[in-house]
Amino acid sequence: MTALLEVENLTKTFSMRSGMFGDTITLDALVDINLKVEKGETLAIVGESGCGKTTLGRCIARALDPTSGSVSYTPEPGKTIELSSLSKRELKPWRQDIRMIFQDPMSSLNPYMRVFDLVAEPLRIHKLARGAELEQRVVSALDKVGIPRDALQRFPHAFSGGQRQRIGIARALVLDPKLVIADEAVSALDVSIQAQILNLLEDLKTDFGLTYLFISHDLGVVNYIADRVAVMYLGHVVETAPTEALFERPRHPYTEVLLEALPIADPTRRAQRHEAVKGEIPFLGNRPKGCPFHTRCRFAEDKCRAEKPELRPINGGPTYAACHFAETIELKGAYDDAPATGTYA
Amino acid sequence: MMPQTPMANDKTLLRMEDVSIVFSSPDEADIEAVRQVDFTLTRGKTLALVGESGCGKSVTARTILRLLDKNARIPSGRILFSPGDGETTDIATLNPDSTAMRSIRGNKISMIFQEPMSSLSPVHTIGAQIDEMILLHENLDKKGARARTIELLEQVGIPGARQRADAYPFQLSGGLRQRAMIAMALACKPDLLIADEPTTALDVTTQAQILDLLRSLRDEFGMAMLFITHDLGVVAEIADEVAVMYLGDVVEQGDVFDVFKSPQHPYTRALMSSIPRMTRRADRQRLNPIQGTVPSPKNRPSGCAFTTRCPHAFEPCAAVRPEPTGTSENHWARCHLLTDPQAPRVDGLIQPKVEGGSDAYQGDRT
Amino acid sequence: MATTDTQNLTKPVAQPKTSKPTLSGRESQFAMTWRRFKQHQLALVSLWIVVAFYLVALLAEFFAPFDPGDYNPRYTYAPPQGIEFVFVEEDGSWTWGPYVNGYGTEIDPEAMRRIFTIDEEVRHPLGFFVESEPYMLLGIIPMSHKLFGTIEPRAPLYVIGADRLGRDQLSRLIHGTRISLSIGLVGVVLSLIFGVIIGGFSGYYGGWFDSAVQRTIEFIRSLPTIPLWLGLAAALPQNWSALQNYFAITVILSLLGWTELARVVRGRFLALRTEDFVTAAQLDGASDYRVIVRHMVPSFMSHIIAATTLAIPGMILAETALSFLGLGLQAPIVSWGTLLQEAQNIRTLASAPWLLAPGVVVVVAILAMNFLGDGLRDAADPYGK
Repeated sequence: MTALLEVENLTKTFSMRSGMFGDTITLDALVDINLKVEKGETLAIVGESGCGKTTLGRCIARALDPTSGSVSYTPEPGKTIELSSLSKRELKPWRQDIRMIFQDPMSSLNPYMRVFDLVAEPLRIHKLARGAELEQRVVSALDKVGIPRDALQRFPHAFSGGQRQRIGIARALVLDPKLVIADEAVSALDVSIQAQILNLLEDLKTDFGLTYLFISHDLGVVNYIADRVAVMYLGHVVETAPTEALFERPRHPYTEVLLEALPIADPTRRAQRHEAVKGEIPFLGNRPKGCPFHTRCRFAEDKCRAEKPELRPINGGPTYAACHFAETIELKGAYDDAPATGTYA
Repeated sequence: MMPQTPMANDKTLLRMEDVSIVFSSPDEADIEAVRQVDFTLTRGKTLALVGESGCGKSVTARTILRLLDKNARIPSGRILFSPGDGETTDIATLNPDSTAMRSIRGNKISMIFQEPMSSLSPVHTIGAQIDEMILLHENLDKKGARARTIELLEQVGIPGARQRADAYPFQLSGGLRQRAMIAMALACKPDLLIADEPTTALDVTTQAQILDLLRSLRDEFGMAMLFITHDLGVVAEIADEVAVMYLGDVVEQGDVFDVFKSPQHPYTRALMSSIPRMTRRADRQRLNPIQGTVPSPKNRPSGCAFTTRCPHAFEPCAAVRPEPTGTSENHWARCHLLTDPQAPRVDGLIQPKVEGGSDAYQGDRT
Repeated sequence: MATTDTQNLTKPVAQPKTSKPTLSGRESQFAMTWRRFKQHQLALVSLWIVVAFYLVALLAEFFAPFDPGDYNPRYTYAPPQGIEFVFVEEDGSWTWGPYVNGYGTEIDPEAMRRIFTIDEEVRHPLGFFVESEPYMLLGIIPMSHKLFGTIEPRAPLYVIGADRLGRDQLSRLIHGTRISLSIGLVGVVLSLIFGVIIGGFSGYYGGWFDSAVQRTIEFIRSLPTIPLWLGLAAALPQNWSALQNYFAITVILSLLGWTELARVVRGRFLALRTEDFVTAAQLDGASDYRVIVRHMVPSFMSHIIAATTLAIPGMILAETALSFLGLGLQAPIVSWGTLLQEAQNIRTLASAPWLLAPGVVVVVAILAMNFLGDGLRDAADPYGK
């Protein structure tokens, strides 16, 4: 199977100048990222703030221009477009295929545009429809996300957070995309609304054969929605694996740390917890030499401090990890083998 | 059948009795943001107030410190605070700006917030700010205060406390700032710590660290903790007791193990079925979210607030406010399903026998 | 805990009277702004004051009883006449109708100065739409009636007094209003064009251009204004006509005035550039032009309107100050500044305090415009509060 999207050696460097005559600091937000997104799957990118997951999403969507590396998109077998090398104009048609959903439903909708215009805007830009057809397509997109017709003439502030997020999804869907990048799309929502949106995203995926790149910091949500997971730390992908494999037996110590820290809505599991990981995420401009995680890793040895591990397949399997000792260390997964305690298991 | 949480015991620190909070605005009708909330805070224990945005959990917490805006008032109820000197103060009757209230605030009851930058001054070092707190409330000289500050910073796990005391808040990471704020809140060895979403803005690993810290500090200081959060996972981590709020009502309250094991209010049950469970693919179940959105407090039904979204709502729900109904020793919920013999049967609820109950529901308090 | 967060879609809130479901109805945003503006009492009053000012300025020839250049040496420094409405005859009967008394003169034997007295015997009845010398309204419409005046021609009418050449202060003030207000308006339009274009480029593209523009703005703003005006005004060729002078002054004022607007616009662009909805528009494939015009500009229209309204008084004050110092507009052009120039001499002022009337008008106009600007800013931004 060919990947719908392939990211190769993607690097993004930001340079910041302190003051007018100050030194230029360069921050490597993404270092040599390699990823594949298969058609029809949901690939989750997880990590803590500053790990580069949002930057990665924006480089793929070309909201940011990558510093080096390539992003190639294969809409059908034998037809591969290297998105990262296209000019803005050449890119425009492909923007229909790759759409983005944003985290903050308040700031991602133009407060001065009505719902109709918000959803119609992509169609107008790509000159795909006008008049009655335009209206019909807007209404049908809103219909798919469960926004009623009488909302067309209202401004976004008249809606609750969940409804605004639905409108944002309608904006993405109206162009019949192939790949949807959801950047923390449910993080700002209350749990009950979050559940509605997660169900909606799932239904849309089935109905329209979508592929998701699901960027999130919430491992509970990721376990629920993703087929495969890529874990990022300080601009590196440290592990990728099928969701169940990753949660069952993580191969990178950072993945274990993330799973350990995840609060689980079951008080009976409190006792099984390790002590939380020590230390803080280092500053990007001050990335440790060797393995980026060695400063906080409980398995760190001299090798880790000296030599940067490559992302490599573990035991030939579908799991990839960037850890020198991935095969040998015993890491704890997140699934609990004890029978579920709640009535709502 | 008001459940009797173990009260009148000398560990009881603060009792909210029937506290309502009303906001008035010049253009609109008054809004009752919180309706008759009852709970008890005990030394060494953590009560978590959990609910979605707008449910009144933060308002409730701020009321204890009388930090609400001028347009808020407490038309009914008492907030009895007994810090152990034999005296009991009704905080609800105090003037928010009075000396009595100020001596409680920051001294006996402290609060930490979601965003530490909002409560730390950006122009003073964190050490200076904690010194100030100590000097204000305790009989120590400057040197003694600084020694205590450094001790506190070490206690909250700030590495290199002596040097970090001279750092400005913006020089610290989010996690360290939160720790500094906790140190400041603990400066006067409070009896009660109110934590308003203290980990919401933090990354998971930092969140886990802060939760560990709060738990151990609570035990060390023997204080009571009121923990406000929207995250049921965090509740399960830290709480001894949990109160679930919806639209100004505490709909269910009880021991955290009981509530998570056998939630009795439809809202609590819906909330729990809205969070993805940590299960393998094979056991995965589709989420079952609550339909619709939270109505505005203006449109709250006079009966049970959850009526408009409740899948089991029946005849008395909209009009008659359910009374708290105990389902086990330390666990109650406000729901007609638990009292009305005519109520629809729902799996997992402790409902009255159909033949048994005489009168359906017990009066209307609103 | 935003209240907007809790509205329920299944039960839609009452729509703000949208008559028919047209898909491109923009009126209601204007209606919304207007509704909010009306709640701002002070701004509403100010709006009417400003409208009145501009109306007077527009139809100055019609409102002013005389031409600003008409002089009468008999009435130098004549004091204001009171307008009377009822005349009581000696026999007790009375007649209704506005009139002014004539002037009598005495010579003060000590100061050897002419003193005006009001001559109760002489009455000059007033009327609306009285006939006058023919004139051209706005320079194009021939007219021969004034809004009001004495019914008999050539009778003295000095409602707020006369100046040192016996010219009617009120007529001069009205004509001065035209010049001063139009300088404000034209100057601001020019600054707006400079400000929006330069500030917009600076904010949207950033980089070296932004730095260069910012440094230039800082440089311009660090120059002390009065000496700069002096220099620029002094550099104007002496032989320019009054009209050329007028335009030159306007351009000078707006060359310095655009910096403020450019800053506002740049600041908004910078803030908006990182907003998700702008990124979303870019990801939609929108061109830069579309992103700017359709997505960014509407959300800072209110800021531009407010900044513009608030910039007009600055311009007016600048012109007034410049002319007061004798470096701006020159006689025979009449502006508030040149009128106030007449009030520079303390001795004249002691004997003819009505020459300060333009000062009062300046204060009223500036305050009204400031309040109006504030009101507009609050009203045009639905997310302001």
